[in-house]
Amino acid sequence: MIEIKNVTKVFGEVKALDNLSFTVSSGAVFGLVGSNGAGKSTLLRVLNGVFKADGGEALIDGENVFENQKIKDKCFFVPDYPYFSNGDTIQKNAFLYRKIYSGWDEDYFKQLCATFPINTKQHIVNMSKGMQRQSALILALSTRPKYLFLDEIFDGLDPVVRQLVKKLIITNVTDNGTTVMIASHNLRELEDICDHIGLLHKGGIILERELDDLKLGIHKVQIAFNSEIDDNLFSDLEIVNKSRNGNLFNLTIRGNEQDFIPKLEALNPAFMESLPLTLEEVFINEMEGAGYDINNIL
Amino acid sequence: MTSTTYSKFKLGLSVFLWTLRNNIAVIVIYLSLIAFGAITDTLLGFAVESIETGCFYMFLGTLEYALIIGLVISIRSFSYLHNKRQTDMIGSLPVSRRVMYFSKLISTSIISLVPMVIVDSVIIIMTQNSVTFSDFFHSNLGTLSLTLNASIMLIACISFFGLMSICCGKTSDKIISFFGVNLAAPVAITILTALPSLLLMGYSFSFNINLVMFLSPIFSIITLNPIYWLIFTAITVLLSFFLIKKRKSECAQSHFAYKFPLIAVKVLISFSAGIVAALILLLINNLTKSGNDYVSFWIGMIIGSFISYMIIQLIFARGFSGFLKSLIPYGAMLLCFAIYFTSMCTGFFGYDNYVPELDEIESVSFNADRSAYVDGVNILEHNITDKEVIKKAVKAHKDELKYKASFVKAHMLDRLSLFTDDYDNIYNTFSEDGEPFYRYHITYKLKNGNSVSRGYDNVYANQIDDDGLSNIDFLLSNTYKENISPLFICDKKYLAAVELYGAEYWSQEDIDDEDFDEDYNVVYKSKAMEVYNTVMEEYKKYGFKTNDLSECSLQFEYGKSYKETELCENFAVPKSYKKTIALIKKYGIQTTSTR
Repeated sequence: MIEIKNVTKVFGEVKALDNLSFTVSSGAVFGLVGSNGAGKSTLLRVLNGVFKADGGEALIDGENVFENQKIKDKCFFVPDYPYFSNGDTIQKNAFLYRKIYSGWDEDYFKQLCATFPINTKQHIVNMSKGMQRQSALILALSTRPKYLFLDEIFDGLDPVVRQLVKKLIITNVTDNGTTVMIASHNLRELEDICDHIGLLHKGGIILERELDDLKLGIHKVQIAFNSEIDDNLFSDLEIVNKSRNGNLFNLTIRGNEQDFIPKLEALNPAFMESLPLTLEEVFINEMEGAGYDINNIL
Repeated sequence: MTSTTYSKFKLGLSVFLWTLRNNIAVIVIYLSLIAFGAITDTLLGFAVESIETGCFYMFLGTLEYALIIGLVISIRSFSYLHNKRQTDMIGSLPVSRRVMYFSKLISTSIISLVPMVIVDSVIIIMTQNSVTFSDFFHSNLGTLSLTLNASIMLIACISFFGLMSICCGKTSDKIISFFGVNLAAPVAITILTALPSLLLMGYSFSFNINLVMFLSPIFSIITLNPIYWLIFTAITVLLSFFLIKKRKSECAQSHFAYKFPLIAVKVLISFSAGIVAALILLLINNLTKSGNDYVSFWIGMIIGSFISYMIIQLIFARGFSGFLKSLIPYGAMLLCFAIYFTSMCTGFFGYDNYVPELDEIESVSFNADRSAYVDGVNILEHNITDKEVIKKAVKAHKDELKYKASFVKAHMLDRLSLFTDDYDNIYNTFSEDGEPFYRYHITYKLKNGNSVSRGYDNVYANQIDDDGLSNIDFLLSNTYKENISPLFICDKKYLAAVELYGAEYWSQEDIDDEDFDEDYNVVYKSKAMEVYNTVMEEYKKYGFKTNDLSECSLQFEYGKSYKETELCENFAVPKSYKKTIALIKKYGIQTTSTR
């Protein structure tokens, strides 16, 4: 289990993480989303012992991660720009990981090398961005980590490899109970793979929930009336976003359908349709709610 | 505990082997350079002189390559501290920061050291068959000692570089800081310790290589002081041990990890640049006599230090942000230096005029600022307890102060020169010209256990000032000569040889010259002692007066052997020394009168 307790990280005058707290249970695939500069990558670095938290605690299996060799042996971090030196090949990197990760699985490594369309003796720096990520992932999965931290892992991968990566992650979760935390802006991919989502903004967490709860807890409703009606009629609903075009309203409503549909039907609409939101729509709505002024950005 | 230690060792070994593997290309280049250098240096040395010279060149070449390669590998090895991507990768590995750092430090040291030691071993083997046994023993001890010193120097350099890597956030900062400290510290220390001799009467600057180089491991081989460099290495390693764990990874590619080194490096470099600029302006001013010494000095100091400080700040901070705030340490540095400078100008709280009272003095010595060690014994050590001599020495000291006081105040900065000749270990006590003494250095050992040392350069005996004051006659007296000359104060057993010359004294360069055909001979052991005894006998009989016309000259060589002379004393043999002249003729030297 990953426990983040009041974690604060400050860079000069910037608070990258501001008293952040949440928990990720074992075996979960946790999607970390948020605006640029929200602190996603910083959080991953704190969770992997790259950075030391200035305040609070980042615990894995109940132990602080920073300088904890035993815990770090169970983790693997693939950063947004994995590092490979000029002469590095997958084989050369495996030389180090094989010796320092107790969970290194040579057979699985060979299997992964065969699965991905990659030459393991080619210099990694000469590979494309996507292939570099594949190389990093091969090495990461070969260590059989109990905790896998991936930063923008889908960036640069072609659709086929993206499916392969998702499949491998799921296999690891189901077969080995790996806990995965993925920071990404690619919400479409996260939607496929994650069971939990955490939404970060300005170093704090706006929401942290199961993906199904999140998607079922917010709806897009299109409703039309035959006659002119007053806006205040929706005041007893938790409206996240509202737009009006004559007598046609587009509403984003937080809550269960069973709760708000009867209330809307009581208004006697000429037409009404309720649709669940995509993760991207949830993200935009929540960020708007948090003061992330999309209209001004766009 | 054992399991943890074993695990750490295993992890360290893994990182060590990985670093080795990553540096294979550099190792191959290193070995190629060394092999190429070794062959060319040996051939060059052999062509020029002998196989030993070739081996010596090879030794120096190997050391240079080892130093360059050591620093290149250090830059590569510690780059994980200065590259964000590498920091992510290395920081997330299940290896503690200390194990990672020290594994890299050890692997870097070994990669740099092993080829050098191998080549040096080859040198030892090569010299084995080419020299006599005694020379072989000596030369090999020398090579071994140099190899040991070079190895310690390399380790000191790498550990210091590692420490700078921990303190800095960027590779460029690390390189600037490392070379900045290595070069600026000797300049700053030399000038800071020499400056009082321009300002403070009685202060005699003696160049102390160990003090000057104490922060410059790249020059450590010059100091030949392995014990200090081992201590230096231990301190840097210890500091690294503590700092690496506390270092914030986020400073990679950003800023210095610790403020103190940042300030120290900026202040040290700007101070050195400032003081060099100050001396240049002072020198120009002295040559052109165009202005006030103090004004020139301080204009140079402020302009030189400010410009260099600004440039360093620009490089370290990548711009001028926070420049004004960063000037606080610069201002503090200038203030401290101004206080130091003023205290020197004003006599450093009475230092310039202080002469101990006669009843406080236990002994005096005139050679305490110089030393000549043979078998660990300073053969020049000579404390005088004779009350009469002490009385005369104190009077001479007071006379010198009185004499200097008449013109010192008007020309503080140019009254003495930093660039006086080095008279160390060459004595001309018994010279035929009338002004043999350029320095008067006196050290008082007081009854309370303290000692007081004062030195005066450019002292000319019998100078007469405007008031007709006769200055320090004592320096021309036989009493003084007998208490400063090695002929009288050194044990005879350390007399290794005597060089015999004709009428004039020739320098070693003249003697080494192929066209040199004047009379010159060297006598050793019993013959040398015979010459010495004869000279002493006639000295007792006739004494020695300056301006005596000399017939020929002698140079007494003191040391373990003639090849290892530690000091020498020239003696112009007066015409009245008939026995000595006859002895010199006996050893085949044509003197003036016989030519």
